[in-house]
Amino acid sequence: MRHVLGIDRVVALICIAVAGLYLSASLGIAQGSFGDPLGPRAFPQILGALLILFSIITLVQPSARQAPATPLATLVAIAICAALVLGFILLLPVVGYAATSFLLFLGFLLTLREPLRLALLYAAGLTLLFYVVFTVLLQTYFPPTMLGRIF
Amino acid sequence: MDTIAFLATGIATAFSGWNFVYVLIGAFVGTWIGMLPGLGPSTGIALLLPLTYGLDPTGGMIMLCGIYFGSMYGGSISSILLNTPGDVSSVITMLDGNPMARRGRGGAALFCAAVASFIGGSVGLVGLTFLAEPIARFALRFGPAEYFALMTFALIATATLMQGAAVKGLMAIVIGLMIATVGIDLQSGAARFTMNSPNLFDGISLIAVIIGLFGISEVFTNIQEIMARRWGKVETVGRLWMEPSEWKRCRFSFLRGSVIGFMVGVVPGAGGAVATLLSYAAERRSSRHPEEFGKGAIEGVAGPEAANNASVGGALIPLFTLGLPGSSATAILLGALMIFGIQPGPHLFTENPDLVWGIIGSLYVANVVLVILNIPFIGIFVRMLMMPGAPLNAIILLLAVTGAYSLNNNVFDIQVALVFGVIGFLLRSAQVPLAPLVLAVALGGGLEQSLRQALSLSDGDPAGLVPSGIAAVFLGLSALLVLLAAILPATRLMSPRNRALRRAAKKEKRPQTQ
Repeated sequence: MRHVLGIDRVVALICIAVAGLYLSASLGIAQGSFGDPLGPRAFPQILGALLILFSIITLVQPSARQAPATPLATLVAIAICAALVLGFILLLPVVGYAATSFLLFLGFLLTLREPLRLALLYAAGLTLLFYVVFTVLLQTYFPPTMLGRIF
Repeated sequence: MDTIAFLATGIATAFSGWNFVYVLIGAFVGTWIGMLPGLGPSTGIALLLPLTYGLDPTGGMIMLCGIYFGSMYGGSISSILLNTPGDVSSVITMLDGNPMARRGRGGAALFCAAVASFIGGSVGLVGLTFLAEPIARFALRFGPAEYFALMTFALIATATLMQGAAVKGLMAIVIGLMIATVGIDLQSGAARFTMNSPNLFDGISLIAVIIGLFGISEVFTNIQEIMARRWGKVETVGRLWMEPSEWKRCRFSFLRGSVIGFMVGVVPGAGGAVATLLSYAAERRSSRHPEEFGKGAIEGVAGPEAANNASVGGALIPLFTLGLPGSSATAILLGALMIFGIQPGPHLFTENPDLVWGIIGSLYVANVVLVILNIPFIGIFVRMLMMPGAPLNAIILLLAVTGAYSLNNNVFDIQVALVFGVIGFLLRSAQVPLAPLVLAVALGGGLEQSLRQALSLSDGDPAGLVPSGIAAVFLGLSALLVLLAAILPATRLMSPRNRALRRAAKKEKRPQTQ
């Protein structure tokens, strides 16, 4: 679809969909009251309408020079990277900061095709650095985990 | 106390206790962050913000401003040696700096950039010192309608003055304003777009949005570069000194660039990128050797670099005096001030003089520290620049994730940052500028409240939005900018050159279709 439409039109279509959802959600907001003629609903509705307008302009007149489509392998790497961050969010309360950081580093480096040994070495060193900076020096509070507060 | 006495107190604050150490750390780390490919002041400040949470407001802001200033210096290093700018404002330096490096004059280009940055930074700071307080006093006259007009102007100027299609800038602003509407409405108490999640009652965190848009989406963008094996090659530095003829060629460029940079920096939305562009054009026009530009003319480094750093002092004026960030970097500084419980605006100079003069004083100190740091330590920075892409981006990613978490010690902010990382990547791919979006998130709440307050005061009469000349001027300028943005592309399309190009293209197509 990206090749047929171009990234400008894809983004414009996404924006129209988001603006539609936003406008429909704004109908549930209370209307203006005495002393507040505009009320909490009108401003979001103006914004929703403007986003649709600008998206339609982009849809009709996309840029002449658009960025080339991102290769599939790169998109997969980006998706893996996003999944690694999601994994970090899920694992942080379970195994703690140091272990999740190590896994994030290792996963990221392997996704970018670093050799396993080098990736392990980098991941261990960087985890130690981040642990010292955030946990020891900056005293950032991380939730207690099943392994206790140390990790 | 007069301005000079306040400045002396500010400089004393910069040297007191740990503050000088924060200046040094900020300047060094800022230079390092600024020179890394793709990382500019905005990303640098956003990523390193968590390091300041444990500090007192003055110390924290001193360190952040040091990072801001340092990253402006650092941007030139990667532009000259890697042909990859750290930020949009360093793109122009690359045009002549990199050809100089390829001719073995990288050292002279770096030296020139450091001197220009120092001169530009100094001019910008002098302007900030003497103009900020009078502007703050003037801003005390502003009511809701004037603030609404000013914020509208700032946002429209950001959208239309940036490079690329204005409609995309306007789109970015609307998206930013939409993000700012999430949360409990301050005037009516109504919940808007919160999906009944308590995490959204206070709205979406500006800093989490910035970390996502600049930190995480930067990593996504860099993955493209690393996988395509386009991660840069460092040019050799050569001797770190300028020849007497080069000094002679640059002497007026430093001053011209500084003045242009400061004046452009004050205009909301214009920032370093526009300043460097205008300065480069001015240098080319006034040069005796315009044909050398783009091939290694040293004035092409001196003017834009001075303009870039002078714009910092200019950009801090609307931030401190009106609470109005003019660029994404100053929007992050606004967020940082709010985290420290400080509301910038006309009262900042009277209510928090120690803080604001401490910051200004520390910027003077940082400017001197940076020129000392940049010249003898350039070899160390070049070695740091050679860091491979994969581990570097792994560091950026974990800094972003940890930074988002430590905002409220809550994983929800990491989710927000991730969502905005994906949005940022999509928008970057479509060349939608991110700076107007960030500014709109930062200003959205204030803009809507000012609009509603102004209409309340006039019982809903739209004429209440223009109660004074100030409001009329800003709204008029905003309308003019939108009009120009709509008309200019059409006139360019109708220019004789473009018409000729279209005719040629049609001729080329005709045989294929027959």
